[in-house]
Amino acid sequence: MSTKTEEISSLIKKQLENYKDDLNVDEVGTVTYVGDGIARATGLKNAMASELLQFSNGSYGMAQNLESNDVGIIILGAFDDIREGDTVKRTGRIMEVPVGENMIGRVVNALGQPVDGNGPIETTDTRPIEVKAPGVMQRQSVTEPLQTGLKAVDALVPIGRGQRELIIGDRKTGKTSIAIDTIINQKDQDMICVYVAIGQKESTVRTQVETLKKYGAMDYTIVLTAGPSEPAPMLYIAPYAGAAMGEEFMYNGKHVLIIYDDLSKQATAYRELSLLLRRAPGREAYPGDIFYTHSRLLERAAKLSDKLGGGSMTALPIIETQAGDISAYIPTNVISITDGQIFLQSDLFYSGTRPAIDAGASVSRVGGDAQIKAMKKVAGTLRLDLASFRELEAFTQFGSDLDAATQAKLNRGRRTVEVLKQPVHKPLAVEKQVLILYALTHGFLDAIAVDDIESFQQGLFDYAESNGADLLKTIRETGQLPDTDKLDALIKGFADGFTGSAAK
Amino acid sequence: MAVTDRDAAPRYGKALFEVAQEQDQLQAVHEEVNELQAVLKQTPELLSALTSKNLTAADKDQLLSILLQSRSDLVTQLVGIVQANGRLGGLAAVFDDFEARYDVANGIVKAVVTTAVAMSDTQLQAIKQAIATKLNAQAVEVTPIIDQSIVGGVKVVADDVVIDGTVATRLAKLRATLLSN
Repeated sequence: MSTKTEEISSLIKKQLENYKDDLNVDEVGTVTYVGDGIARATGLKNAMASELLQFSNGSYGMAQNLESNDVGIIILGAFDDIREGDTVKRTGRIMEVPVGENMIGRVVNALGQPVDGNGPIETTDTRPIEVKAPGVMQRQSVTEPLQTGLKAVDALVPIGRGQRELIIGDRKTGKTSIAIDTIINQKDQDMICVYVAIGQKESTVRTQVETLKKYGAMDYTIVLTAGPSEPAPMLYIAPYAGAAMGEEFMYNGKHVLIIYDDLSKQATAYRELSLLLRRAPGREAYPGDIFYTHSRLLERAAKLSDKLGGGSMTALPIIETQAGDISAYIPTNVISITDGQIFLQSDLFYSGTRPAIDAGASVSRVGGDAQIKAMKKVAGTLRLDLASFRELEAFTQFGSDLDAATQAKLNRGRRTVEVLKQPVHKPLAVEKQVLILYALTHGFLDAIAVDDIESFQQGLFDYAESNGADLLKTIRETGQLPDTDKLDALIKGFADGFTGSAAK
Repeated sequence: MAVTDRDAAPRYGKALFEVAQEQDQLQAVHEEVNELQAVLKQTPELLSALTSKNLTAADKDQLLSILLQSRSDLVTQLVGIVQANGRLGGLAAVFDDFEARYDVANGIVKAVVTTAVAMSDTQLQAIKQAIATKLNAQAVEVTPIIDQSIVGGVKVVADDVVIDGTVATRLAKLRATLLSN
């Protein structure tokens, strides 16, 4: 009996190791207003901007407005049992989220707490959610490619590691699909992905997580979700929390891909709490610092110098436009912050061109340097061809008498559009992309009927895997275009044996 | 946005304090303000009557003249200006602001000390001394409160600072530590 009590007492002692019997000295204020996810409190004279405060019900808040009489606080958590007259105390800390390897594969909320029902996350490290972005000397230019696995993106708007590329388009144009496909394609690429879902329906997030699981992408992905039913402050801080989780890996020399889906909802959430905090509304009722809200977030994406480990964080922010209006306030802001944009059009989407990338309006300002040599060679003129095709197509819709050169250009254009189509969740390895684009630009597809392009493409890949594996390997490993004679022979060998659906 | 009585109060408080300081009447004004504060506290309906729309100006003047009987010119004038500007609703806040300035200038800290049982005089002196050193104060004015629910120990609230050494808080902390493991 005595041994048992000893055991118990030693256990209790062990648990109490962390308990310190010291005096609590707090600085407190009094809540004078609470509602809609924000609170005002008097007192707290020494509170600092963005300092974490704790309410008497245990919820945390973040000091936002420091005024002469009171402090405006955004509440991060439950606020229905906070009353006027309650105390709120300073913590002396700024907001931090847990980070580290153990976060990978988990679904967490904006505070880094797990919401996937798989138990607590064992992490020891935390990082502040707001940090200054790397400075000039801490960076280097973008040189390595980030393969999205989408022909249309990798060929026309290549993305480099450390770049910020905006995905913009109306609702239901496949913005999220591009992001998810890019995550799926990072398998075995030594990449860690962070998918930040801001204001996305919980059911949609669940579907995305299931998709990622199905393709084995959750092994290297953190999903952070702030749903539409959560208070606006959670939506506002979600991207910063995601960036903090990504930075932990970047500063440890790893490569990170972070997706903010989407920043227009974050802007709306920030507008809501700014108006409630009585900050002056500006254009479209957004507060004056809405540009800074996004620029300081996206500036944290970087390619670090070799001295700092050479890690990178690539950001793919998503913006939803209303009826294709890219000249609205938030779209123009984010377009000017990022290093290019992928513009998705609903007309293209509904006409079956998926991904519905508008080649003319999409650009990548730095990605070209990061493209592999082979891709650069085969895709160099693709954008121009496509642009002139679109122009010709519109022009020739009214007449049928065309000279041979124009006819050829139209033919090539139709095939280009067909080749750039790609089904969802089917990312393509870069060597195969090069192969089919090589076939296209060297005229091997001109004789194939447009309807047969897809089956030709699939057949060519299978054929090349068995008959030209060494060529594919050369592209994959050196990044250079292999001997063109051999490549021509390979494609020709397959094209000669290919019979289109019309001939069957 | 309209300036509330509460927002305007520091302006009047500051003015009264500075004039009193110039005329070397700080101590006298402080005592008068203290008395007026006590009156306002004892008759909470006074301020609402003074700001009420149902009373005529003459009635209000009469009420004020009772309040201001045998007051110094300075205080009488201040209340007059406050009334003329329609800020009587913030009169208590004006006095509070003056007192806060007076306390800062003289290094006085007002503290509410909560204990489970009544303190002896020596204990009170010791705690005053302790608060004075902790908060760098010249003098400490203590309002003792007895509250059994804190079980034991002492809790000091001075302005924004809360020094919590109660048994109840320690027990809560202990419980949190045990439950978190």
